[in-house]
Amino acid sequence: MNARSNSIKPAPEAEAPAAVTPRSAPDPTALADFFGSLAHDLRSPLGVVTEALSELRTDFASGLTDEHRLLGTLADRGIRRLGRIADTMSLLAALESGTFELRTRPIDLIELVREAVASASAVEPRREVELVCDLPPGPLAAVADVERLSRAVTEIVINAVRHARRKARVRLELTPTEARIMIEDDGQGVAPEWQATLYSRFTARASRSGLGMGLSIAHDVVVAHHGKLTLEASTLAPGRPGTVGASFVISLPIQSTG
Amino acid sequence: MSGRVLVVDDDQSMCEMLELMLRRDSLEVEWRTSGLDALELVAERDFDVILTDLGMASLSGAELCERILGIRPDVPVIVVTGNASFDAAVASIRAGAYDFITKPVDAKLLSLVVGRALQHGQLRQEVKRLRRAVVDTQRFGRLLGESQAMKRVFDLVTRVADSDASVLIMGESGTGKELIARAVHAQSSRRDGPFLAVNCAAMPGALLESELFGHTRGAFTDAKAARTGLFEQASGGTLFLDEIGELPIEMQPKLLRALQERTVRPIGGNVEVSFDARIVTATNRDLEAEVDEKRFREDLYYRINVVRVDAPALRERGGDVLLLAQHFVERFAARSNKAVRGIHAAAAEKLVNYDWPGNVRELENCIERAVALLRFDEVTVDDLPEKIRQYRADRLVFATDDLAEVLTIDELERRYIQRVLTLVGGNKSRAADLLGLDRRTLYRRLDRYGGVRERAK
Repeated sequence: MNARSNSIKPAPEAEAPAAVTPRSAPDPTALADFFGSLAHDLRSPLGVVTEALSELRTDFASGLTDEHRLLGTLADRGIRRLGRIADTMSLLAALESGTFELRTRPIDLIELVREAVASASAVEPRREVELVCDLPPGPLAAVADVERLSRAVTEIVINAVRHARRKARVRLELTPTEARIMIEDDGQGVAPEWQATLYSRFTARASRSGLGMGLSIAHDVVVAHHGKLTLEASTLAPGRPGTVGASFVISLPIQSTG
Repeated sequence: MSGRVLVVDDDQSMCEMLELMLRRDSLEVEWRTSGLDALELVAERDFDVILTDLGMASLSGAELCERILGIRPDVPVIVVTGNASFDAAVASIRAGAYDFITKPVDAKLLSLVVGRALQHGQLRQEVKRLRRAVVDTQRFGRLLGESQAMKRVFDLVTRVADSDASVLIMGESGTGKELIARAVHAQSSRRDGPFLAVNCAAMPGALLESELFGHTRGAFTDAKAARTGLFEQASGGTLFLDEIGELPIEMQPKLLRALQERTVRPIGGNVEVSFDARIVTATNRDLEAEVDEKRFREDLYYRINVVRVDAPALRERGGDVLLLAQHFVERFAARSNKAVRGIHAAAAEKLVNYDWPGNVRELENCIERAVALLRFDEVTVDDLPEKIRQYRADRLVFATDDLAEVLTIDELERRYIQRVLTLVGGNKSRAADLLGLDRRTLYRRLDRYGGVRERAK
């Protein structure tokens, strides 16, 4: 027994973590690179999970119960949300390092908004909130970065649904010089003290869930398109007496094709 | 499990996932993605357990928790938090949460935590109901009970009360045999007559004889005056002979004769005096065994045992434990001038699980002590004696009338093995033989049940 009792025991000091030497803050480019790689690393296992899930679905298609299908939907939603986080990180990397570029091409703006709204309700639905999409018949020709602009609209719609009480609405209005995409909710609105830092990044918002990165990214993307993102009062009936919801308006310059 | 659960989380996926998990435990589930909606729902409908996220957009979980408890103070709230930090736990408990679990939520842990909360809530409701029941229950004399076992006693007492048949009450110490005797008297047509009680174990034979039958002046050295015996004094009423099993053997023929003839002859007298008292006896001994051992006369046994009433042990009385506990809390609180709301659910659980070898008397002492020690306005686990706090139920209940006492097959098996091991002094080979298992199977079961082996040592 004695010969075998030389077991390895952790030294008493091993119970507390060893001190980690603090490093100096990295320069913004390195940080952006880091976020870019992180996003990339996240996407490849996500791709595997998506593919695996899809194979499972195909193989067991005939034997799936309603419960299985719900589990599938929940898994899909989870994957999409992780994908969004990866997107946010790479966008953030590009915006923070100054390497952000638009990849523009001719598009149908109406179609873009419609798909962005559909994507928002697929990723973060809320049963209690009716999401209305009130768009004029298209097409409406524009030149834009589909992926980024669509992302900006999705983020604002998700934000509206999250803060709505019963209803959120997306509309599009044309003026001679602008296309105005209005995303309204019947929630409690944005408190005045939050309005100044609404689009700034890395600011903690006490009563909000999430990092609050969506609005800031949407803002930058819209500005890159020579447009602006403004906060107005919602025209929806208030969800609770005495409150006025928020209306985020994306204004994009359009060229009259006459 | 059964019960209705409300899930509140601003992430609908989380709501749907929790709903799916909880439905697998056969629970009814509602969910809301906003704290305000959840509050409205809580105001209009009853829920047995509420699960809420801690960091939500419209209303924080801690705030929601406080407001829910403002509307429904009895509902256990479980906080689901994405943050496994100590601070988050403290924040939720401070807001009045019953428990908390961290995300990602493990299905087994969820089931366990919700199950415990349900049980806690049910006990809390039960304690509340009992507070009303103590007031509302039709008292049977001073006997209090809603259990089937006690209902049988009440029924029997009602049926025999009006006859003059001798009643023998058998039961463990502390089960309230004298209260049953008093109930027989109170229900009978003799209720306006005297009820006299004498403890046969409390005095030597000669003294007992003089007590029961009386004596004439000068019958013995100290007999300065004549004295009427209890049989005569109880005329028109009931004579209760407690601990009849302790009656000295030389007294037994005299008692038998008195019961047969319905007359007594006082010591030193030469005249038979007739009496008209109903005889009720009680014992905690197994009188039939005493008869077999020739320590108790068989003819006397049959004479006193015309109707036999079994006073049930407290552990056979299911929910009566809490009913009585509440009754005692109120009595001792009033006596000591303390404002006591009742019994905390966790303490109630301990009381229900304990096996009460000293029966109602032990419960009464326990509550008297608890009320004396009370620090808050409720009896808590800390106010209970150590042995009740530490007690682990190993009782074998096969033939129960009480749904709350139904055991799972596994638990019954665990307790049975434990019992057999105790009987054979921890000898596992012998236990395996008796149980008809081979040794290895027994070891496997012991491993499965964990604690059994430890306790059997």
